[in-house]
Amino acid sequence: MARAISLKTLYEKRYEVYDFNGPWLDVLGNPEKGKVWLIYGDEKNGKTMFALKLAEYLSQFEPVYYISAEEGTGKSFQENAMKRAKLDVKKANIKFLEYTELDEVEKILSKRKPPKTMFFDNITVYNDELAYGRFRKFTMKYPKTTMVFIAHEERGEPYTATAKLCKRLARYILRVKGMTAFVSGSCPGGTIMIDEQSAQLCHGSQIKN
Amino acid sequence: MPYIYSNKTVAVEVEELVPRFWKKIQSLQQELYRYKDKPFGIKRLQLGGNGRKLLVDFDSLPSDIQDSLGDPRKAEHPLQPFFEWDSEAPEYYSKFKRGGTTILKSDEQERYIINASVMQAVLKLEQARIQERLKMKHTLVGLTESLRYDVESFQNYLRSKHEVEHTLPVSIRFKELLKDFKQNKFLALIKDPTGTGKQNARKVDEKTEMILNALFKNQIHKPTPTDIARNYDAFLNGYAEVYNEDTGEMYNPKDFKKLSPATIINYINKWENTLATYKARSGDRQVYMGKFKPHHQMQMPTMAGSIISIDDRQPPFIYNKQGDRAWFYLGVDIASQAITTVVYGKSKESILIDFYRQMVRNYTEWGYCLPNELECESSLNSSYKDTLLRPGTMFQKVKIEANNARGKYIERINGKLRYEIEKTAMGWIARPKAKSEANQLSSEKKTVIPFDILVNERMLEIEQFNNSAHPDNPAISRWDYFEQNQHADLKPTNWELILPHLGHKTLTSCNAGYVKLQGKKRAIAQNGKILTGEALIQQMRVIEGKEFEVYWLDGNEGQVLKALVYFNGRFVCEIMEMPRYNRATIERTAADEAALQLQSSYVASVDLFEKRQRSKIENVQIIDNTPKTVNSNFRFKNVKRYEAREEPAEVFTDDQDDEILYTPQQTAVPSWKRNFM
Repeated sequence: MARAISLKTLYEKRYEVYDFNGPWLDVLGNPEKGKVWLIYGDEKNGKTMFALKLAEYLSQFEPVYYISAEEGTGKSFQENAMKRAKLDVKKANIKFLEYTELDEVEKILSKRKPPKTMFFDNITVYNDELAYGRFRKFTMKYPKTTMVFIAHEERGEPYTATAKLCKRLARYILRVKGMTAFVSGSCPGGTIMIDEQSAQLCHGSQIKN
Repeated sequence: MPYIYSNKTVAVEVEELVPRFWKKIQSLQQELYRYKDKPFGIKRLQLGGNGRKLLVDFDSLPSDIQDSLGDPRKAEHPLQPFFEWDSEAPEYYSKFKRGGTTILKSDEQERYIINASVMQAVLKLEQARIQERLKMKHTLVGLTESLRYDVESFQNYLRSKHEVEHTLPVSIRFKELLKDFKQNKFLALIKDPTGTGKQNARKVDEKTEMILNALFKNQIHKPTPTDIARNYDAFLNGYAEVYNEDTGEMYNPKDFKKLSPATIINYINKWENTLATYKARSGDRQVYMGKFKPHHQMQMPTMAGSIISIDDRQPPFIYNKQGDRAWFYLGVDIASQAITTVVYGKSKESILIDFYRQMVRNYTEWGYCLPNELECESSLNSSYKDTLLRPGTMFQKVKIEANNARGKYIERINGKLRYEIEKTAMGWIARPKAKSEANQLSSEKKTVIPFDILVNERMLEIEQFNNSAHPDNPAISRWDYFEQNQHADLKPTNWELILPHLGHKTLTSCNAGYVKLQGKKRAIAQNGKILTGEALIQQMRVIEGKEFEVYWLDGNEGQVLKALVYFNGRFVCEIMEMPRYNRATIERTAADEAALQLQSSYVASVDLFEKRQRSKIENVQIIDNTPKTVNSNFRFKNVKRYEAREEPAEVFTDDQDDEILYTPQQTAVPSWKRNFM
């Protein structure tokens, strides 16, 4: 039977949070661990690049698994990580996976020491496996794992119904547009420039502030 | 600071990395070595040693190090990569005239150059942004707004990097400006380009100014500007009505603003207004031109005979108690400044034709060609415009200056004569209002000089002037300059054309090969040579025994200088005095012999022609049977006369044999005529 808690208990509750700093802190505050994040945007607007940067940043706190389901770990992905996102080989605590079936993923997550953060690039590939309510079940099954889903955009909304559902359930929503991530959700919100130069070219100097 | 190494690579020196990011240089070198062949990790740009510095590739450094070092390629502002000083704007703005008249002030130009450069960068950024947005499927909505924001924030960059500021609008007007700039480019940035922006605030607008000028110009009593101020005041207060005579419009005083008299006077006295009103009010064209009309500036000719400048002049001396002054007509050769032709008289009109005669006389006797060009005033000379002064007749070019004293060079010579030569002579009359006090009228009484003496004195002065030093060559006199620098291309005198206008006309005839003129028998000649032979006969056929006109010009000694025969208005020949020889053989000189020969051949030409004509005639006679009476009704009875015989003369009949009968030839083919018979 479910047990209700008092307001005092609620207030006394402690959560595990990321101890962000710098621009990340300004925009995202100190996000709670084990939540669902959504990154979505049109193609070639910098989704993967941003996801990699976020993965690198999050890997400072906990090890990160990055499932590159769409691109795999091919040359373009390597270049994206090395040349564009410029992930530091010495610092980034990231492991990459190519497309792995959800059952396999679950096996990884069910290990004794599961990865604490997992990136799914991108949700369209897992559409079949996450449809029909499996998404909710899957995310709720691993409450201690921060899951970052990456989705395409169509007509201003994440593409596929699962991604839309993901947007509803996600605690942090990051819309990538013109090399800029527009952050909303349970956080202060704001913009993070993925590539300052391109972002300013696209949006003007206004985006800086 | 990292710096741009080549093309797009950026170099970082070791000092910037050690000990900030690597504690020791060895550890950096180790790491460089470690990643030497790997596709990732830090990389060298240049090996150190032997005077070179070790350089590390900025792009290969981890992003946190890159961030803390700063990328020199990174634009501080989206407009920065596109911003450069526009090269066309300075020229455009330095040449632009507001309202077509005023050049922009330098600070205004500077402002516009900055603005134009920023706007050019904005246009480039707009294009780049459109491309970027299309690429990223981003909407173009709000594009101009983003540019407006960029322009606003670019101010800081300009201030810090270039120490200038733009003055472009960052309000809603920016959108209009951007559109305008795309269409009109640099013009769009200029404030009030037509220069009419300040017109609305003017008290004296164009209409008011026109009315002030009109009142000043059109009133016949020539009001002063103060009068106009009073008139205008009366008009504003309803005491006077101002109307337009052409359109009938009555001006409403309520449309005009009150003006102070000083303002009105200043406006009327403005140059552009005086220019228009002075001519109408004053009527003295010479003064008007002196005050307002710019004149030509020419180089002086250097060859004598190129151009002669002529004008009348009254030397400032009187010859009777009425204060009459002699008239002179002078011609000055401009290059040499020598006065080559002088005539005088008591009236101006009578001397002009004589002046041209004198010019021909002088130049002919000196052996020079007439000047190529003439410069003269209009009043008297214009009557010769289509005859003597038609280009190509006496002069090749004629410049008639209508009422334009400054147009003629001789006016300068007249001034020199007056103040440099004549001034010290007795009886010189000063001008009451001469510019220089020294040339003004003194209290001395006017001295009357008899006409003949006056003229003689003046002629001596002209002699003195011609013999004085030439201003450009003080070593020689004006006359010497005239003689030494004759233009080589001058045309010889065209006697045939000028004599009918200039010469004296005498009706005479040719008898026995001689034409009588001035009491002397003159022989037929052409081009200065007495004709003989066939040429002589040709001319004699035309004029011998006939009456015709001879136009002739007398020389300075009264001799006939040139005489030309015109028959029925057409030039025929010249006549010249026949050279004479001594009757006594013993006294004859070589010239006499030549004269004798010429005369002999002149006579022989006619003799020969007579013989030739005579030999042409054969011995032909005539029998004339024309009846001299109508009938023979009147007869004297006792007079013997020839009677015709009563019997008619017998006529012999011709022989029958001699008659030849005509028998037409019969042909087998019937004639077509028969069909119609």
